[in-house]
Amino acid sequence: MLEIKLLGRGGQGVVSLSFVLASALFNEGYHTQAFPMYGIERSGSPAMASVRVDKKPIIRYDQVYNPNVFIILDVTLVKEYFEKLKSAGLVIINTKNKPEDFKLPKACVVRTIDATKIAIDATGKPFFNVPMAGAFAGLTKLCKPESLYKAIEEAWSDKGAKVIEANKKSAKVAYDKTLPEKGSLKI
Amino acid sequence: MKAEKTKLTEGAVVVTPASTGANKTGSWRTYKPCLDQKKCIRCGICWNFCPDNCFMLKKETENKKYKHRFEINYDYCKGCGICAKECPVKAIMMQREEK
Amino acid sequence: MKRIAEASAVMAEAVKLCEPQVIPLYPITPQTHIMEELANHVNNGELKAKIIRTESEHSMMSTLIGSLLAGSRSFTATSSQGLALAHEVLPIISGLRLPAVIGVAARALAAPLNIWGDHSDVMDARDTGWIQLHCRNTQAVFDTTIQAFAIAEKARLPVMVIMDGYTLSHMFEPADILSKTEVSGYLPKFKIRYQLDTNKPMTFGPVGFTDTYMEFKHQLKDAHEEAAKIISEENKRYGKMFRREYGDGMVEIFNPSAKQVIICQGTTAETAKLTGACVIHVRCFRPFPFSQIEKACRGKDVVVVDRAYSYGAGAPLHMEVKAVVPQARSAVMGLGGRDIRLEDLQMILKSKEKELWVDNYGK
Repeated sequence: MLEIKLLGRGGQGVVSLSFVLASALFNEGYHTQAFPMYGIERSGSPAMASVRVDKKPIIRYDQVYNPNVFIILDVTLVKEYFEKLKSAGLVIINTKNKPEDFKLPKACVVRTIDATKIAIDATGKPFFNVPMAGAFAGLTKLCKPESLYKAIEEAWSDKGAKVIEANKKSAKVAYDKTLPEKGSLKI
Repeated sequence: MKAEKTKLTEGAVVVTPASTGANKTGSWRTYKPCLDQKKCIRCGICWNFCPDNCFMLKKETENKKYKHRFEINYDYCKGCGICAKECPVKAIMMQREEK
Repeated sequence: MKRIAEASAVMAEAVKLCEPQVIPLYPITPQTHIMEELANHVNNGELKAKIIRTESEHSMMSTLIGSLLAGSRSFTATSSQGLALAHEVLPIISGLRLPAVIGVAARALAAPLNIWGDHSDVMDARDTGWIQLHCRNTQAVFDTTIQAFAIAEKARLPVMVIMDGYTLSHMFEPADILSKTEVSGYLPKFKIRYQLDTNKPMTFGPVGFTDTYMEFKHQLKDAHEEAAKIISEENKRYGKMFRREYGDGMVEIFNPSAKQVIICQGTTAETAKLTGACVIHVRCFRPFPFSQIEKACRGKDVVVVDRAYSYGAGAPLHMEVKAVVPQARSAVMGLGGRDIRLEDLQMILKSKEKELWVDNYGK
């Protein structure tokens, strides 16, 4: 089983991203589960969501404590959260900085991507959760861009074709920019 | 205790309509309203105010000036006197009822 | 067709397929997504139902009485304080023997104010004469909701379909969604024994004097005994048609050969399977499956997980189980959304304490 934890702030689309990832991996034929961990619902407060992926049906309903992958939408949360981090894993951070700039436990594989820029270039708006999904797909190669596109179409079906196409483009840019990790993650 | 023996309907529904009518409530009256049809102007205020709906609208046959008349249903009139109090032409008198 | 969706949306989808005509609603976290989805279905024209926006849960539940008596299948959903506010109407609905179906995203009760999941609200409503069905995953939410309409209309009793607030109500996972024709093949047409009809007037909700009140309540007791059979029958019939059964309808027993037993409700039953112990999921809390539990627990070490507490007495599920399984231990977990981890469930199996409040925060 692969466990993914998403960290961001209320309003940045953390929960939507968890749904899109679960949906994309579901399209790949995996059993998936995505769930938010709500605090007080207020824009700007830290928000968290988790995704579980497995080949067989998932029968766990507790929170994710030792994720294999961290996706961090808001770089200001890195320090606060990682002081508590014990386990190792792939950490994907939305920042223009380089991985070396972050002092994280050595066992962590840190990858950075300027998702905000990609999102603004592609869609004109900072919908940076979508390129983070593209980066996840590109780094892990767990899902094809097509599966991700389908998930994006379903998630924002009420937003119209223009928004969907722009977001697909932004996911593709992020997917192409990221190279697969050596010894990449297995489910 | 067996509920079905008592033949109670499910959910305490009363299936026979208007069964309240069987309970005649006029018996405890002390004063009885008497309507003087000659004085009555058919305004319908008594009909409107009666809390027990005891004023019945009937077709007028004697007085050609009016098409209808009011009659009191003594089965349910409790003798509250609201009609007598409200009548603008004092056509209703409350009289002691001897039992 | 297998689809991935939020459990709340799946419940709304199941309700849509059952075609209720009236949906009174009032929002409350974490139930709101169910109503949002239903409102969407009505707005899209996929569901022809009248949505009535009420000013409180009390009015919402009262509206349900009117719409059901008028002969229309009706649905609503609520949580926590909302269910507590509607509480006064709950025994009226069961006393009138109306086939109401409501969804409950079970949540803690204030104070202190808490929006997260536990079973305090539904345990609070256990003595109101409603059938209470718990769901352990998203698929169960879908299937139980459809079964609930069939059970309610056959048993002429109201049904609560309960899912853990957040843990399940906000869970996004795959579920097999049936088609409209499949559901209409299973669910009979809505009918009600006594209906509001201007051509045939009747009195609903009269006074039950000292000479009849007790008999009417005895009727309700008999109806619940009958309902236990109906729940099993409907579960079996549903299983035959769609190849998904939930134990015998009343309880689900997993890994029955194990020496230790965890008795629980809701999503905890899924996580508990991973401990390797025998897991008894009490799917139906009212009517309570005493005999099945007694049979499955004979001579075993039993621990009952509760997500609610009856202050001054004990944990409610444990109290019921103890009536037939005297050796059962009690573990109170997950109040107010506290996580129930696999490790915690393993720990309570090892513990020998009679009553344990599991404190796992930050561990």
